[in-house]
Amino acid sequence: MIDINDPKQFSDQPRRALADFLLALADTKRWLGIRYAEWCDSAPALEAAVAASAMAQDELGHSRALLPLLKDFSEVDQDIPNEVPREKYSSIAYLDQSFSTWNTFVAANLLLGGALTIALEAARASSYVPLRTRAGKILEEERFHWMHGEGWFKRLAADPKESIELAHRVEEMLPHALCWFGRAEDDTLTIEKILDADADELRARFLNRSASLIARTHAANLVKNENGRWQYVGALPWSQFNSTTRRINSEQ
Amino acid sequence: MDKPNDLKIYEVFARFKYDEPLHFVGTVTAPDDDLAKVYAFNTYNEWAWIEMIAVPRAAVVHVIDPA
Repeated sequence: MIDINDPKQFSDQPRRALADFLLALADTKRWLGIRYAEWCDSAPALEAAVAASAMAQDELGHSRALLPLLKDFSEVDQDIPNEVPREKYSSIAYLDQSFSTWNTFVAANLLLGGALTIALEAARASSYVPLRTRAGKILEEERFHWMHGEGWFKRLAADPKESIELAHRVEEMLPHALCWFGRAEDDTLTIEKILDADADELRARFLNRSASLIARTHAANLVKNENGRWQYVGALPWSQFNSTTRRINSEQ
Repeated sequence: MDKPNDLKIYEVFARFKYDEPLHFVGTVTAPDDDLAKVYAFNTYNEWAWIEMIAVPRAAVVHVIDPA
């Protein structure tokens, strides 16, 4: 594998795809961090509030570690890596609103944060060295985010009252998480070895990690296990999906 | 949601040098060991620890009890 430090070494299409991917990753982490931060003084326990605060700092830090990479992409508006406030972000649309409940926080921690982690794991051996080096550091911190999400998700799923609301949040969020990996035919990042798997494989990895937890909730009907592989039951809203921003936009 | 009786207190110990013993850094309250790990890591993450452990207070054997 050839190591690439300067994105100019990629041809136009993969370079644009990489820039779009980096921006979607950085922007979603930014808004995930902001939504986590809103729960720093509202979580159900002091320790959970401290965890929310730490996770918010981590996500905002990850975003700020990824955004400067876009300075090397001539086609990217340089206001973006310079963090000039924008009207539009390439972030998961579910994060446009604050989390109304702790169940929402926990579902986002597991599903939205979890989806980004799956993508970063696929970048651990990336041909694009600046992404590869950042992915390693980010994933060290994400280990504790997953443990937090998994621990809380199990507890809420086991509570008859909380489980119903948790299931609603899963139903709302899961299509956003699954679509975020992109369409199956957009495999430029895999061909260039920027990621080690295409969108369908990343979705499968995500479901193999999260679906057994989803199956503990009233949203269990959304997933099924066939021959040891978890699948999403239902159609994803591809007609509303923007493959550049990786957003599901309901107004489209 | 957790009821107070579901929660356990964990004593947290850590060290940041190989040639020093673990020392007490504080406590966390958590419903299980996994969340105790997360809470201890996040709460006492101000140093570059090389090791951190959390011990359920209920597992501690008292040698001398406070009066």
